[in-house]
Amino acid sequence: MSQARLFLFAFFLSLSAAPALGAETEARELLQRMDQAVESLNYEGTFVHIVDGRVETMNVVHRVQDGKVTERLVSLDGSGREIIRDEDQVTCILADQQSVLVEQRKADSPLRSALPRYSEGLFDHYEFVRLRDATRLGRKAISFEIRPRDKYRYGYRLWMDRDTGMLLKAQLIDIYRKVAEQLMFVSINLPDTIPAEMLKPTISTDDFTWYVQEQRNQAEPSPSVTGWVAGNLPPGFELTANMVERMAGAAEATDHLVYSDGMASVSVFIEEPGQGSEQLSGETRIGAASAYSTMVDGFQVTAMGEVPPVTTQMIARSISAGAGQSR
Amino acid sequence: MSDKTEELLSVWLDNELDEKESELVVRRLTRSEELRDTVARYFLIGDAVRGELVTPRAMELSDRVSARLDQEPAAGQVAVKPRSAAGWRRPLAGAAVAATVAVAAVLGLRSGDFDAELELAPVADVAETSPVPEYSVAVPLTRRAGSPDRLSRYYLNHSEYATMLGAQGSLVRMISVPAKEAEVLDEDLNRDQAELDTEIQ
Repeated sequence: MSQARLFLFAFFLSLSAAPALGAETEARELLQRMDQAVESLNYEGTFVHIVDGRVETMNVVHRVQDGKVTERLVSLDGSGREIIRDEDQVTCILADQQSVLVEQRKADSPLRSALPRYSEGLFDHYEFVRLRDATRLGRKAISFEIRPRDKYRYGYRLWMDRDTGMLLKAQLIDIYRKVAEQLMFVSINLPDTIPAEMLKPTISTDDFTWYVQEQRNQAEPSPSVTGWVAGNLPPGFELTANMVERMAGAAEATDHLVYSDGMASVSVFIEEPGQGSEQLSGETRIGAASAYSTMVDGFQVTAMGEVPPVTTQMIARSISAGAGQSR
Repeated sequence: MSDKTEELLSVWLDNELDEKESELVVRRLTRSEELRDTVARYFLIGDAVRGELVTPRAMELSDRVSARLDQEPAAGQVAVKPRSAAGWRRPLAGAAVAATVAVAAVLGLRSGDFDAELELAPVADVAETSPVPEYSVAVPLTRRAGSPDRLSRYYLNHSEYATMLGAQGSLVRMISVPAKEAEVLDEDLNRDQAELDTEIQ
């Protein structure tokens, strides 16, 4: 290569590299701003959730009072399913199953660090693409896409309110670049305050069976650590949480590992098969989320997350008791 | 459905209805499954019109097919049928189905079309223009009444560890359950069993 050519090559290389770095900073700022808005703003609205050609309409009320967040999510399509999430608990009312699940929140524990952050390494595995801005619900919306660089994760197309950072529409893009799932507000209000009454459940749960997760021992500095390990992970996925816990409605303790690439996360649950309870095997889906179950050393292993089935399968199949560890 | 309703829906999807009108549409939507199906179609059309539809280009068709095949469990492996929550879907296992899946993946069929006769459309044509979601062989399964099943438990727990966006989505998925599923419970069960039997043979 002649010197002139080399120079040109270097010049174009710098041209292509410089905006990319700026774009990544912009992407991280946008994502963080949106996360913060979704969590810290007061809002009430109706949105549609579309997956597998099916539409569900839902109502969400999100209230922040004295720094405490309460959220209520109700299906409007008559299934009688409702979720109320506050600082301490997630209460899931499943009217069709005549049951109520109550999980303790972990947000205030050391596990908070398990939540994926938008680190710099994120863009080794995703590409940021700014899309044409649009108008949504009479608001100016910033639109961008987080595009995966391989087939182990999904992409995200997001529309956020330019003024408040609130998420207005989100699409999950599968590895074939098709919309696998979408969520779109059809009406939204962002009032200064929201009355507490709007967070009360509408369903009478008197006759339902309640499954309440045991209160976590607050004195316990860190969760017990499982001896399990995933031997085969897609690039960029790292262990972000590792604990033993007793879940609501479960007879035995469950080992729980969380792996994340900074954008998506995969949970791995390991427990004894248990008598009388169903055994899981193979692939399952819920919307665009996937789960893969298998047996390892007589234990039921299930990996699940908002990732393509190939990823949950890969992780579940590579779980082993780990070197030198005993349970 | 009347032209008026169609027009209303289309305006609604463009976010151009005022709040009162929008509420009216949502109310009607919650009562009519047919209307919800229509909206699902409109969404895809609307996305296409606005240029928001993502076209498959990252992967060639052959890759798509082989990716599908890779995902299928090995030959001879017949999974134990789980009893899972409403809302959970389970793809069929086994190599016997893989060929059908490959065809279906190419044609871009929706899961609801699985029982229908396969219409052989020109592959390239479908791949470029079809706005339907990626095909997956998904069979809704039944659940035991009155007891939270393992997958629901797991999923609720997992939602704590998803990103903010993912967490929002996973809670949505927890309560997003097809209303018609309860009515076709036995039918589904029988069909599942028949399909499993076919696989074993």
